[in-house]
Order: sequence, then structure tokens, then C-alpha cells
Amino acid sequence: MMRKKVEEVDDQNRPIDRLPFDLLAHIFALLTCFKDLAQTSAVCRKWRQGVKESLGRRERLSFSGWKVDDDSTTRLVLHAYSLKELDISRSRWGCQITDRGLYQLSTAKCISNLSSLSLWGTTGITDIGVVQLISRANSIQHLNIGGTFITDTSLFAIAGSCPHLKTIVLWGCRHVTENGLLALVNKCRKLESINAWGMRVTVDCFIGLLTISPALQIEPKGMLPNIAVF
Amino acid sequence: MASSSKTEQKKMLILKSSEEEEFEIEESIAVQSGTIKNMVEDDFTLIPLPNVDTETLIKIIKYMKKHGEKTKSNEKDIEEFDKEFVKKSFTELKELVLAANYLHITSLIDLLCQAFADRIKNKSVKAIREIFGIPNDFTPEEEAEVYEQHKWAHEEGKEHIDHSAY
Repeated sequence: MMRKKVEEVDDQNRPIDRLPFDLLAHIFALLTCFKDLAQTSAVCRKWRQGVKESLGRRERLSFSGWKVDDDSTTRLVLHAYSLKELDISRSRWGCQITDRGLYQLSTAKCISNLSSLSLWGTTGITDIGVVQLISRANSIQHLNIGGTFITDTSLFAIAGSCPHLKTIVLWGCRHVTENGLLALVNKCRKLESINAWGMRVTVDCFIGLLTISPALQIEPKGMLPNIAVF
Repeated sequence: MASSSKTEQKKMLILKSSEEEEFEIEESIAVQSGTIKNMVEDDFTLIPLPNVDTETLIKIIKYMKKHGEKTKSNEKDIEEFDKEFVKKSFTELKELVLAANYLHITSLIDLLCQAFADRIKNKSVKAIREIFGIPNDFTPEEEAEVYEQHKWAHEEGKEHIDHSAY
């Protein structure tokens, strides 16, 4: 008696085609690796659509470690309507993101809802792109723009656009001065910590910041001598 | 007419599969299913489930019973159960996720979707198609376009992708 070796199939459908679209999207949203997402969207038309749909549900997207450029990053972020956390930090292939990419990203719907953004080490960007993006990122709480060439201009933009900012990493931002930091601390009243390693700013400046906001944490700890603010 | 839920005896429900087989289950356990919960609120005690076959229903009841006993102390035990629970053939998993979706059992839907995602991870396109029995319906032009768009995702890691389906 011959048993069906292959799984039973409906007339038109293969087994997994019976899965409704939103279940497929749910499954794809659980894939964490971009390679998996890429393979999945190459399987068939329905899956390609499913991956796009699942992008809309993702709350986190990280390109860190991938050789992305302006277009590939933007293409994905534009579909990620639910995004809350975006990481475009530098990969070992160097920085591929430019101001043009930041400009394109600024048009994505999710930017105004982002709570966390990292542009760490993206040496190809300047104030121009950052200001464009930041002026739309009004819900940002955690920002990492360490290892970039931004200046006070970007900090003024952050001060003006990000009232909910809680933490900021300015690691190695050697072009940022006291003026930018003062504007930041004065306007971002919810700011809790600044990572200021490698910045060209004096201890006096930090004392000034702590006078405005005594609870402010200057990271990394131990970088400053013991400062008591009464 | 319906007995008060405050009585000593636990309120029982009857679940009926698509093949008309009936299974008794405590209401407190069955309401892990949002669909069943709604029907109970409308005073149903016999719940017909025309979308769920007997085999699948038995597994679902087993899941709900196990998760109905959840306490702070048996979390590890339930984790082990879940791990074993998804060690099933692809067809079984498919039937289960469809049923869980229909019955609206959130924790089970999540568990099963994760199991599917785990089976897709690290597989080549060919392997995925083979495992899930999906034909390639792209035209050559479309396929080239897809690869072009995701070229960057293929440049990380090894040159040769795993094509075996295991």
C-alpha cells in the first residue's frame, strides 16, 4: 500500500501557503539576522511581500556589522513603520552612510517615533545630514553620535528638537565645544547622562554643566576628578 | 440556567473537533483561548471548533493544561515542555499554528512562530523552498532584482551558502 511520502497538499496551495499573511509576517519579524531576511524574501512572491509586511512590525533594526549604504538602509527603514530603535553604526567595511542617506532617512515615517538612535562611528556624515535627521527625531531619548565629525551645529539642533533626550554619547567628538554642551544641557531638561570621553572640553566646562543640572552624570566615571557641587 | 461559577465544582466545558469528537476541559484552563473565552461569555458550554481536527485539538488541550498549571516554581518545567512541544513535523506545526491563531492563544502562537523562524535561520533559499515545499514563482528578472537589492546581506560571512535541507 503506497503511502503519500509528500505532505498533503490542497489543489492549488502548498502547505505553508495556507498560513495567513499576518502569521507569516509574525514569523519573519522574529528573524534577527539580515541574511535570513534576505534569503526569506528570495523564496517566492508571497514571502517577499511577507518580509516587507514584517518590517512594518519591527521595533528594532540594527545595521551594525553589515556593509550597507544609503540606499539599502533607507529602503528598509522606509518600510519599518513601528520602529523605535535604529542602529546604523559603523561596520568593519568602514562607514557607508552619507549625509544623503541621512536626508533620505529623515523622510521615513518612523523617525518621529524613534526613541533610540545610533550613528556611532559614521565618519561620512556631517552636521548637514545630522541636523536634517535630528530635527524630525523629536521623541529621541537615547542618542549615540560618538566617533563622528559633528560640531556644535548638530548640538544646537539636538537641543532644539529633542526635549525628551535622556542619554547622549559624544565619545571623541572633538569639534564640539562648551557652547554646544551648554545649549544641550540648558534645553534638554530630562538629560541624565553624557558620555564625553575624548572631547576637547575643560573640566571647568563640566563644572558649569553640573551647576545647571546637578544630577547629570558625566561618563565615563572617573574621567573627572571628584567634583562636589553644593 | 447557567450554574454560578462560585460553586465548589469546577465548571467544565466541552470542546468539539471538526471530526465531531468531544473533549471535556475545565473552563478556567480553556479560557487561555480568547476565542473560547468570548463564547463562554455568551453562555456556551459546548464549543464547536470546526477549524480544528481531533489530533491537533488533543495537542492544544495538552498545551493549555500544562500552561494552566503555571506557577512561580514550575517555570523551568514549562520551558522544557515548550521545547519538546515544538519538536514536531512541519505539517503538525502548521496545523497547530493555524489552530492557535483561530483560537487566539497568544503564548502558543508566539511559541510556534518562533519555532518556524528557527527552522528558517541560516538556511539557503533552496533549502527553505525544499523544507516548506514552495515553488519559485519569480521570473528571472524579478529574481535578479531581489538578489541585487539584498546583495549587501550576502556579502557578510562565507562565500558558499549551505544548500542542504536538514
